[in-house]
Amino acid sequence: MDLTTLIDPTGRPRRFVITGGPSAGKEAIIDELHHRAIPATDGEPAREIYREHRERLGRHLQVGDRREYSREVLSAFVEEYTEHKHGLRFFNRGIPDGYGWDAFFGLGPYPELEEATRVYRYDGVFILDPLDDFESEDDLVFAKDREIRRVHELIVQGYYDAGYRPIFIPADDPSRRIDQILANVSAPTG
Amino acid sequence: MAQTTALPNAPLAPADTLRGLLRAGLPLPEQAQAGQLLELRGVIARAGRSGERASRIRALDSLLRWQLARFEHPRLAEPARLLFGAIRPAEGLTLTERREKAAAAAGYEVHHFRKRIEPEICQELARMLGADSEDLRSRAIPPVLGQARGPMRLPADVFAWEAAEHEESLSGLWSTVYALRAGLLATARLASMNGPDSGEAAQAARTALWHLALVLDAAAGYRAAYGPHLLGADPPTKPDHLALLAGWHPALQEDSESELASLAGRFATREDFLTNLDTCPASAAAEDWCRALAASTPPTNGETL
Repeated sequence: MDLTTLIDPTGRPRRFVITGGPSAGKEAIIDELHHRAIPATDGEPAREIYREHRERLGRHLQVGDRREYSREVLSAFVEEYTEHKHGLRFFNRGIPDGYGWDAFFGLGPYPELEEATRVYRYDGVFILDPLDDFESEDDLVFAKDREIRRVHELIVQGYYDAGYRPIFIPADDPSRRIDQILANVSAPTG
Repeated sequence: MAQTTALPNAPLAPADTLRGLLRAGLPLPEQAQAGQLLELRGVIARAGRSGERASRIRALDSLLRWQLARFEHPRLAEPARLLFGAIRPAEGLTLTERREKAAAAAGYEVHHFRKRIEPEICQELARMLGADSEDLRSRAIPPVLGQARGPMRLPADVFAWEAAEHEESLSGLWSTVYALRAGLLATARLASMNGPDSGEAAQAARTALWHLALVLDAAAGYRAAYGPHLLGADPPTKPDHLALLAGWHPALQEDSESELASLAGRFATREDFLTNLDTCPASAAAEDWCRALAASTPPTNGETL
């Protein structure tokens, strides 16, 4: 199937999440999607919210700030979801990422997150396996640190808890990873 | 030769428990007899509400799916997923139907598959579950250091920023713990060399006290940011308890600890801290602490050098 048919820009909205822990190479995948003119999240709404929160508080987030911050991030994800009206689109993280992230900080799921998870369903979820290659460009500050592994696993668990059956994309060259993702994207069904 | 016999009420080995779970397959029913698998560290860590059995069952279900998704055995990966009903062609089927599909995918006759291959699959899956739990074992250990191959680069990703920020906080906390350790070692050495009542030992003890106050101050900062326990530490560890890992030192009352932490937060240098210590409400307790610390490490031969 050619890319235009797969994207189906006037068809029903089809939403796919690309997620994973911080050292999974997600940015490279999103960049490559843009490069191939495949619709995908532009930037990440959570970034601005995080920056604004820090600016407003004048310090880093604390335990008492975290729930409000999570709610703001959730509403940005919901907005991005509902604004997408036609055709294929890849989302840079999705609503259920909130489960994993809150769990990382010791917080349980909250009603708005559970409700949004129930109402706004994605057509598929791709989880990028962490990049193990220390030579790679994404060789991060924390590399194979257990911290990053924990984040990653809690994100995976969050998607399972939300009722998804994620598809795992092994560490590889971004282009080959995208080929694998596209091979698992269902065709438009009118 | 003596033979070992399983006790009547002994818990099943994980591989045997997994075989028992095959009957219903995935998704695991709430009443699944998952036994010790629900006690796995990997299950507890993933369960949203680890105190609830239903939550642990859900966590085990997803952990099994994940492990099956990455089951790397060249011959048995696909049959394993079919057998447990983890993938579409086998979802919702009876065990007999799943077994038939799995045996066909593996290229075995069904009875041979049931008798010989299923135990092999369950054994491998049990090994993977065990390895996962071991990987999650995360005592209160400092962030691992490694030789850097390039500059630190973070993707523009909030999760990365926050994980880095947590590691900043943790690294800062541990740096105070090591500094305290250095202070305690110096006190022990100077008390041993010059005697516990020597000026050198007393000065070293006061430096150690300052370092302890810095640990307590960093721990208070960590608590404010991330809660009462170190994130991900297993067993749960309070940040201020890291001071105990630096080495033995006399205990302080909680209010004195708070005073000292607050003082360290307000006065950045050792000199300013010690100058202001004398007028702080914890001053007497601090003096006792320093004396007890220096006195705790006299030379072992009983002679004053």
